[in-house]
Formats: sequence, C-alpha cells, structure tokens
Amino acid sequence: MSAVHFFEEAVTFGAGGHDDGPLVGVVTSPEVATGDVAVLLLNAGLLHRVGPQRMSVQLARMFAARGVPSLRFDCSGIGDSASRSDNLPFEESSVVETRDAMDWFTRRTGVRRFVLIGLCSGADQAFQAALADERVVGAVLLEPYPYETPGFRRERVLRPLRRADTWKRALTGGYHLTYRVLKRLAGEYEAPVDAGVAVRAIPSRAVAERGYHTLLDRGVSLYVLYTAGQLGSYNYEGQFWDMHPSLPKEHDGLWYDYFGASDHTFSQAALRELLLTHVGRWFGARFGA
Amino acid sequence: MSGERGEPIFFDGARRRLFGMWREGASPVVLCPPTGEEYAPALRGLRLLESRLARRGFATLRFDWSCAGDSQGDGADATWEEWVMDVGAAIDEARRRSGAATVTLLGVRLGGSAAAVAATQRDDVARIALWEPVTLGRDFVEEKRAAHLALLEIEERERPGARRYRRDGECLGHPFPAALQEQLRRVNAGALRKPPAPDALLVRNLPFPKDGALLETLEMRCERARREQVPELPPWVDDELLEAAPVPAKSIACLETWIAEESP
Repeated sequence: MSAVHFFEEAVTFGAGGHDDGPLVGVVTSPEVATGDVAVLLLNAGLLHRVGPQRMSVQLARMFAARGVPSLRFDCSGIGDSASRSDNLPFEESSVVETRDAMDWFTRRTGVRRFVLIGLCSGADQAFQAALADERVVGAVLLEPYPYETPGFRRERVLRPLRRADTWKRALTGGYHLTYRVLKRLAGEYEAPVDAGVAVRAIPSRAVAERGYHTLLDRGVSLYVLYTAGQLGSYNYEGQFWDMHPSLPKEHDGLWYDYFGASDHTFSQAALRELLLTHVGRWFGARFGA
Repeated sequence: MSGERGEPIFFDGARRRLFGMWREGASPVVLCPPTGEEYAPALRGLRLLESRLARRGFATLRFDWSCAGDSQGDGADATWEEWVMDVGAAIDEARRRSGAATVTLLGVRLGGSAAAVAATQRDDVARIALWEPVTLGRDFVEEKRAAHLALLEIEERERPGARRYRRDGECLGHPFPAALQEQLRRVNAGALRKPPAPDALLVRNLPFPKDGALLETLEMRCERARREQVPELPPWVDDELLEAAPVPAKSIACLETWIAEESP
C-alpha cells in the first residue's frame, strides 16, 4: 500500500431550507498546506461526488499531494445529498450551493479563494458560480457550453465519410455492446420509473462569450477543455475559438486544450492521467502550487 | 442526525479507511453495493431503499469498497480478499453504532458475492438478501472483458487516436487489475460450504440460467431461502450515466418488503 499524504473527512454543510437535509461532501486536506486557494469539485451530470471513473477523487488527492485542500460534494438531489424543498431550478440551486460550499469552507479553514472544477453540467455550474462570486479565482471547465459553427457542420458530414465501417456502426451504435444485447433480450420489461434526467440550460453563444470576457477582465484564470466525446455538439479542435471569435487566443488567463482521443468522461485511465497532469500543470502555473 | 437524512462517515476497514453512509435506527441493514461501473447507476435506487428502510426504523450502512469510491486506496491495489474483509468491517461498524447483536446484509452484484462469502465466516448475519449476485466469478470476468473490448472497438472507431491509450488492467473506465481478475475467476458463490445466514433472499431481474447452484446452495444451507424473479431492467444495464438516473422500483419494493416483514 502506498503512503498516504492526505487526510479525508466526510462532512455535511448547508441546507436548502428549514426542512431540507444538508449537502454531503468529502474534504481532502494535505499533510502540509501551501498557498491560499482551495479547490471545489462539482458533480458531473447526475453522477455523485466521486466523479466519472472516480475522477474527482483522483483530482482531490492529486491536489493534496501539491498541498492544496479540496472539497468534493453532492448538490441537492444528487448522490447522497437530500433534495431541496423549494422549486429552485438546478442551474440556480447549483450556484447557490456552490456559494454555500465556499461559505462553509471559509468558516472552517479561513481560505477565501477558490478554483472550481466541473465536467459537462458541472462546467456550467463552475462558469455560472464564477460569474456570481468573486471568491472564484479560477475554473477548470471540462466540456463547457458547446455551440455549432460552420466548421462543426462541415466536420459532421466529413467525419463519418472517413470511416469505411460507418454502416456497421449504424447497426451496433452506442457503448456497452454486451449490455445493449441484454437490453434487447429484456425488451419486454417495463421501463424504470422515477428516472431523474439532467438537462443543461445553455445560454446563447453571445451571453456565454460575454461571460468569458467578464471572468477574464476580473482576472479569473480559466482552463477550458473539450474532448471528442460529444461529437453531436463538438467535433474539431478549433471549434472553441470559432464559437467565441472575440476571445483572445494568447492570454495567460485562458488556457485551452482539446483531447481528441478521449470520450466525454475520460474513461481510459491513461487519458485521465493525462488530464490530471494537464490540470496540475495549469494550476501550478497560475497559482504556484 | 435523523435516520432519514444519513450521515457520511469514515470507518476502519481491515487495512484502509472506508467511506460509508450511516442512517440511525434499529436492526441494522448493511448494503454491499455493486463494484466498478455498476455502482453509479445503482446508487439512486439504493438511496431510495435506505430512505424507505429508515422510515420503518431500520438503521442502514452503505459503504464504498476499499480502493473504490471515496474509500482509501488506489483501484490498482484492489483485491477480492480485502473486499470480503470490508464486509466484515462494515458489519462490525453497523453493530457498534446500533448496539445490535446481528445485522441483515444486502449485497448487489459482486457485492452480493462478497457479502455471501463474508457472511459464511461470521455468526452475526441473521438474514441476507442477494440482488443479481455474481455466481461464477470467471463468467463475470469474461463478460467484463468482452464488454470492455466491445467498448474499445467503438471508441477507437469514433476516435482513432484512442488506440494508443489502451492499457491492460482496466475495464469500462475502472481499474481491473490482473491480480483481481485471477482472484475473481476462483469465486463461486454457488459453492458456499456454510450458510451465509439462516434466512436468505435471492432477487433476479434478468433470466440467468446458471443460477441453479447458488439457489440450491442457499436452499440446502439456509433454514429459509426464497427466490424472487422481478421482471425489471436493473439500473446497471444502462450506459446513460450522466443524463439519467433510473430507479428499479419493483426490485426496491421487493427488497424493502422482505427486509421489513421478516426482520427478527
């Protein structure tokens, strides 16, 4: 067993209202803290705080090795956190709860500067929370808002034509071929009830672009990363710059990467490790840890 | 803290600190979840079951396996032996917190297999429910390897550059070290030599022709054994993890009824 250089504690904090349950999270604290920034790791879609393929746990422990504390937590209604009793839509409640998390962490540790990390809807949450709260000094946005461009539409036509087995893919489709076979065998079974569904509330391209400018003007460090895992909405490396042509390509506060070999959730361990390396490098360059 | 809300905890496993969700109450139920990629889609249903049991006054403890979830350890270091010991540690923790002399075990998929093996080594498991347990570890390993290769094939067709990132020892996004695979190949839940508990429930969703040995073993070894076929798609047979969280309502109801109606 490798030596452990961090301490983890299960915590609860915040509440949506008088009768609402608290939010559940795990704080990862380094043996020796460096700097004055903490990291908040946000839910990816409806996945709980551990993250896809345990990615948030790996990020938390990577940061701890660098002397940076973190909190990974479940927003209300996700993972182990109770649901809210008010009717606040997720795109609002997630920002409220991110601010609650920062409040709680500051009360507990004194840290007042935060870097948010989120994938997919988690990236949306990080983006909106950064806009809403000046305590956010950095954000890693994994697969943030996608917008079609002429290049996207062109690539959408050309990409399948480059593959000789397009017809075979059309027949088998999706992931988990074995499970799809099982699903067909179980076709007479009723559909699951009470299925929670996550829907992203995506602002207009112009609103998103103004948001990026607001954050950059405020001095927030951003690391934007897309993969080739959502080809229905993002399918080439330069799409981010084409989506937001007014954003500066040469700006210390705006880093961009495209993981063309990765799926949406960095399923392959080697790609996940590469992601951690890139995030660590960005954090070190921007925050000195 | 109210049993209905749950309290996140860390407790001592045999070798590492384990994460758990504890709900106060009486007659503790220890939930041994699925492993790997099967856990996340099952979580919502398990939480619903915990909540319903809590309303009936039961204590519950669901834990993350060592080297997985929020528990200590890297996935590459996971072993079957430690997972079986994790069950024992969770039973001890549930008994310590509740003051109860016995527990009910609920094991799901490979968690059910580990629960059954662990229970045969103890005398404080009064009842055990197994939901779609893995009977033969070698079948499980081969199914996972085949699914993983199928996924890689599709991935690499979509993203040809992904091929250079192939690595042994992983499966469907989760660590699946060779040593663990070899240990799992020797698992045979149908060859238990002692009863896991006096009272047993086996819940199946999908048709599973190799169930005979496990059911026979339970019927032979346990004082009371029952099998329920619940025609419902289990939540781990779904690849849409980020966008949807299905709840297998019929299976949850079956488990809740059995646990609640026949509890000592």
